[in-house]
Amino acid sequence: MATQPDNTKVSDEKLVRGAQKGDMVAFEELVARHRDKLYARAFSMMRNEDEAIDLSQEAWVKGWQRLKQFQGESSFVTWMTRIVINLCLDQLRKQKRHRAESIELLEEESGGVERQMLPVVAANPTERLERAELRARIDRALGQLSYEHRTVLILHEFEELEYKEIAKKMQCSIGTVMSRLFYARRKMANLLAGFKREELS
Amino acid sequence: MIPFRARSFHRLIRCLLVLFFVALLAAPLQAAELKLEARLIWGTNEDTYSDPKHPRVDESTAAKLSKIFQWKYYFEMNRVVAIVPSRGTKSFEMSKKCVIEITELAGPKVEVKLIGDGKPVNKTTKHLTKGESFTIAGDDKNGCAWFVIITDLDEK
Amino acid sequence: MNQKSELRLQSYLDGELSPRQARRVAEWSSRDPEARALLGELKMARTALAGNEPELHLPESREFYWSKIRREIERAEKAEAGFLRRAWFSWRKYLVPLAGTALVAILAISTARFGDVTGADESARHLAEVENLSEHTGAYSFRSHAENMFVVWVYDQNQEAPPEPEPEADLILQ
Repeated sequence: MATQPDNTKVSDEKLVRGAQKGDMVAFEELVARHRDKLYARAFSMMRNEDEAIDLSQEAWVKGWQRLKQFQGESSFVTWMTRIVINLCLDQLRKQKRHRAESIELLEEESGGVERQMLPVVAANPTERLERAELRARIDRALGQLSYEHRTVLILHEFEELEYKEIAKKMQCSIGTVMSRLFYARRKMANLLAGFKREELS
Repeated sequence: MIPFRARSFHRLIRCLLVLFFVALLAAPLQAAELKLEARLIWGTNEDTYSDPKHPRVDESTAAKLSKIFQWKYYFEMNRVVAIVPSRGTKSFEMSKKCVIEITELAGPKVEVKLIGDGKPVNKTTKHLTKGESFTIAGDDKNGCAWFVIITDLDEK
Repeated sequence: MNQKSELRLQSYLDGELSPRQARRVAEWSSRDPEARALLGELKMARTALAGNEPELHLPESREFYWSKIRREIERAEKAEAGFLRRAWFSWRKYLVPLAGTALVAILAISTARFGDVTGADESARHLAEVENLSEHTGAYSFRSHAENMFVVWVYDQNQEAPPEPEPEADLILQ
């Protein structure tokens, strides 16, 4: 529309201030800027495109409704990412997990067989990989983890939350978080090593 | 030699004739019939669908739709070409359950009415803009979507 | 190595130990090859992931994505304000159709006066009036500038959750 202001060069802070006063055009620019990031986070957790789109949209709606509560204690995109993570966690809890995943989790938490059989990966399978290729492999590996392992990895490695913050979000003990994170990292290392072997063969 | 009064009279007649033909030509511009194409398209993310009666849409349409919507694969379920008479209405039966009624209005504008299961659902009145596609769409079952894309064939 | 020791190595890596505990683990891992190898693997996984979250692009256009968000915001605001509106809706219910009629009249008059849209204002050409004719459906519209497409998206107002798939799908396509 000819009369709309050009917000493309305006800072996030200024747009947030405008949106807090009810400027929906400013909020739309924030959505346009950060929609991919929020969607990517939702997809990493849910591994389903439709759910990721729906949950990211819901996060934006909640963000608009709670905008006055945002005081700038973190960046706006970090604040929005936390909203989408909470929505994803709520959704994952609501969904029924299939039996196979439950068994894997039970084994892992009791110091199960697979954990003990994972060989230690000595050589770095990500050396000399282009960033885009590494990201693609990480995405592929995340898809092969159970939702609990994937979630704890995302919250620790990408969101940089501490064990106790993760425990609170996932409604489990710190010991469970540590155990899941340990398994997830080892599994990730083995998966990346496996992809490297595939490439070489 | 033609007298002066006669020359003026002939000039007047010529002007009137010119104005008359211009009016004749102008009238259709304001009240033209429209040759429209309506395509019913189904969008899905499942690449397993295969039916020779419903081919994949052409690449440019697929590209256009994929850039706007989340679905990756688009299949043409039906295509109807018809002429909407000037200031008249034409029905486009897209499926047993979906009919689009298009009325040509002054402007040129069109009124597009969506009728689902015999009941009116929605009506849109809009100017026809050169080169612009007009699409009515909605969710379908199983996470798929339907689209009716209306194109002015006179512009093609 | 038992699970407790393994988790201690991880806590050391993540900076979750006290300085005294961290020193003890550092000394132990320098002496123990198995601990050193495991710590190396954990460090490698952490380094690989750091800053390498998969980058994905939303498979929808800006306009379509925003139109759904805006619709939900407006719907939520309407629902929230609903109980307040009821008190004064008795007179406001005449205001909305009157305003709508006035808007349609203005559009009609300006269209009749200016007729041919050739050379008309860009935004006027994209003006559209969308009217719901069913109480069960809603619609919103948007325009994709990049793809030069005007879209009217029709949705079911009563649908809360996605429907279960039916064996004989009663599709609009049939």
